[in-house]
Amino acid sequence: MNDENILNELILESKDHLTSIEPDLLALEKGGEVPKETINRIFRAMHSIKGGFGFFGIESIKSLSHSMENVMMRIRDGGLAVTPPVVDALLAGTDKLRVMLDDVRHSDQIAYDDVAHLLSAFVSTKEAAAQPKQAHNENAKIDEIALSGLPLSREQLLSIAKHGRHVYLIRVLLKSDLEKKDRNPLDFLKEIESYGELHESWTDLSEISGLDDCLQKELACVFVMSSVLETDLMQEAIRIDRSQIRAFTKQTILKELESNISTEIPKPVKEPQSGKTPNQPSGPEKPTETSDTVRVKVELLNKLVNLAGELVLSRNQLMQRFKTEEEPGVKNVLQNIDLVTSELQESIMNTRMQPIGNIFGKFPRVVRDLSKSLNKEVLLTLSGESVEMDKSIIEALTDPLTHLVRNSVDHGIESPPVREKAGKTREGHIVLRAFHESGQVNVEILDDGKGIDVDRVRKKAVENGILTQDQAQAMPPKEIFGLLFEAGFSTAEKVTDLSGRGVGLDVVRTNIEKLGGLVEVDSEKGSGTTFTLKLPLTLAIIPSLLVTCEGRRFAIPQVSLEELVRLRAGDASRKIEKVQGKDVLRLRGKLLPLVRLNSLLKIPPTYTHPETRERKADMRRNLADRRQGHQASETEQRGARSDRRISSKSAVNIVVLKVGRNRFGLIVENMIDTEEIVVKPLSGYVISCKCYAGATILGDGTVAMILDPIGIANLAGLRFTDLERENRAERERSLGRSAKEAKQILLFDNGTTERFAMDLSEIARIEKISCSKINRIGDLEFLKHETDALRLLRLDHCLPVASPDQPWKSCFVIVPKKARKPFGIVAAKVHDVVNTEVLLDEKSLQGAGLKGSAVIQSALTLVLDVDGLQSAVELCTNGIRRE
Amino acid sequence: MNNTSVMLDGSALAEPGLAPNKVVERFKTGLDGSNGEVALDLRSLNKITSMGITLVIGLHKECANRRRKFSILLADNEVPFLLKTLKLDRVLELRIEDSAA
Repeated sequence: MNDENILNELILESKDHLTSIEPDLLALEKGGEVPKETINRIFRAMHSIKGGFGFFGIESIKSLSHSMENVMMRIRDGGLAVTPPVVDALLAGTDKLRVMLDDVRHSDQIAYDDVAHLLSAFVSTKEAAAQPKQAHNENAKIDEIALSGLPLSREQLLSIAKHGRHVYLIRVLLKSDLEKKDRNPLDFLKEIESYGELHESWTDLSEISGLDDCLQKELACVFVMSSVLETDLMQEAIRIDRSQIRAFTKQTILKELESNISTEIPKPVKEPQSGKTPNQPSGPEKPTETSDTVRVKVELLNKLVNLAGELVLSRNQLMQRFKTEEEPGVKNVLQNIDLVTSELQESIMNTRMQPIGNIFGKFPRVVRDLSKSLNKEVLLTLSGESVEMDKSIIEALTDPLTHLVRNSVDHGIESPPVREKAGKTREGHIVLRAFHESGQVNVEILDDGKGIDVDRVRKKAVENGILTQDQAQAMPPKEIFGLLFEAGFSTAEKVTDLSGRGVGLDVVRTNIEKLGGLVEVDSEKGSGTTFTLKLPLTLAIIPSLLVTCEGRRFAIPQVSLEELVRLRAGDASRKIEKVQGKDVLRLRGKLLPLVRLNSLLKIPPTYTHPETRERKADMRRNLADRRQGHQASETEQRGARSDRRISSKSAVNIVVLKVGRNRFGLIVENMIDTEEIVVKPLSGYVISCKCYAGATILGDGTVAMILDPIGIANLAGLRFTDLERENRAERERSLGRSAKEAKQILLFDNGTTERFAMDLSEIARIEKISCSKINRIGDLEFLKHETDALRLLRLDHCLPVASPDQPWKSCFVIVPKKARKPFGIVAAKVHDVVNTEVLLDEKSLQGAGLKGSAVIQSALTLVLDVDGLQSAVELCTNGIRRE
Repeated sequence: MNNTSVMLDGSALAEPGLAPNKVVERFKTGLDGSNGEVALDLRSLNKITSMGITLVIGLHKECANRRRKFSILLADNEVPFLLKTLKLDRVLELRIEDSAA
């Protein structure tokens, strides 16, 4: 590894150090008892940066980190209390170091006097003068080299300490211990090897930063050796001061490793923290931290992901090629290739996965600084930091997330007096959490601030001409909040440094949508706001549905898929309607806007001629033509299978896609299959076509475009607001005729001439039983099952109806579905289940347990109310309990 | 100044009574008089002193400070063995001359 590579490694490691200590610095500020390890971690990070850049002679970074190290040393030794100004100075130091690390070559030109001045205020002149020397002396202390910091594993250390051998750590100062005593280093090496076995050695280069240092300072070498000699004898033999030697037996090795001494002492005192950095090229590595991880270039990972993608494509082609062939033995081999390819692809994709905590970690600082500058008190809670996402998504998520968090602090959380006045705690609370849901990652930013004033957004939308007054009033709050993501839309009274220009949230939405994600907002005035980001796990290989449109194939990401609907040719005219001139499907009572893919892509419509199998131009103008007004008779249907109006080939295939909380149906020609596809970026020629998210190569080697549901919805000009309004009107109409709607009704009697009715949807089950199975306790009746008893209710006991004239041998028990506690209604006879419209008369016959009466099948019928009957049951049961 | 390389003589680094300030001056003069690669010739050495090692490291860092490429020419003997044992080969570019050549 040359110097350039080593320096690059060092820069990366130093940046990691700065990132990792920031939460520790913030923890210091919170006060209370700070774990010693937290202080040591910061100290070690500073020490490591100082040493590394000192080795390269990069003075500015070395000097600044040294100043920070001095402050940390005072804190560690109890000489300095951690106060907000101290933390401010240390944080300012880390910020400055970051700037320097971003441009190491010119770091010496970056002024840092202001920060150095801040830091020096916490180290007295005397101490400041003494500390560099003190640090040097500390480095000389053999005591501070922890066993856990050696490049030897626990097992190796215990192994070399076998058979009563001692393990020695010997620190030798080249000039003081050898040169001045006329000892040659090579001779010394041979000498110690004659007394035992040398296992490891390295040189501490941190003191020398150029030729001038050679005259004043000196190098230290550390040797790890084992010997049967006792410590005294060893010391005499090698003639090194006792203070420079540490001796271990097997027991003391175990003791030190188990007591985790490394957490008590800053380790290692060597300049470099990692054996791979230039500042520690000749020093020990940290086996516990580096043995199971390795830093790999992203470029290499990208290459692996691409290769995995190519392998998946080849696998798909292979599977397709041999799908129909019956080559003996090939099937098993293919299955194996399929399995291994999937696992390999998954593993490679995992190498790019990073915990979202990597970006969450920066927010405590962001919130701290921002709340300070705004004179607010804000507590940030992080959750789900271990949720992993693809590196590219994590990186692209940083800016939108930062914007939303800053937005919450700036606009969401109120100032302490305002919060107190509103009956809230002085300290506002922001929660940043990530969790998996439906194969996606949701990231939520919740605050308990003032919320968004929906009326103010409405007013602003009207003022800006986005909505008319009527539209604004009719629009539900969630959609009103959605306007906040429109470009240039801001409700902020004043523009601050942080927000208010109305250029933020639309950028957030654009960035999130670029990732194939969505952003939603929900808010309650006075209670707070929640922004939800829904993001894919990865962008490289995704499951998709393959569809065709006029003979061409397209892939639709499965994450956007809601459901598939197939309308028979004959049903289409009934189910597809027009709203404001646009096709909509009435799906389970709701209107779903439809988009025809061929029209959208301006592909001339064609059809396959049933006899010639040729694709021909379809001259029909619209969907309705294939079924309009045509209800073919059976004879016609039998005799005209080739009639495209009723042929199964003319069925309408609709892919229901979700865009946020909205849905729309995409009419395609055919749905083929699901397939894992490798997303390839769009070429420059089609990159401006907003309806495509990328391209892929299919199993047969052909290229298919990947459809982007958001782009399609935008291109088709779908206005979900209109649809929602229509849906609301529909609901209102539906409610208006609720008293007269077709329902499935169960009709039964009570052994008299009176007839009863219940909505079949309210019934869980109906049992026919022998009346001898009914048990009585007082006036109450129960039907005993294997493990429990079902309370029975006779209608003549709770309703103003006649009692049966004679006892029955058998009866029916009707068990309602949504009862708080199960009970059964006793019926003498079940007549029928009819599908009929019920015109309910709620006035003529009233009472608990009755909804009213209706004429059903020409007979006056009492319509039962399950809730009312339930109350009657509870009243009786409670009565018996009391008795 | 042309992009000139310099070969510094390191034969003094084996002398027990070495005067380091003189060597430092000599090295600095050599560096100042060139701006290309720097090579330290230790091929005549079969031993090296502690001060010698310190000066080698000092020269290495001086070159790094001046953004100059630095290498050491060595004979295939115990000197490179010592430097490797002390893990200095991880930071120094050692060019070991084959004694058979």
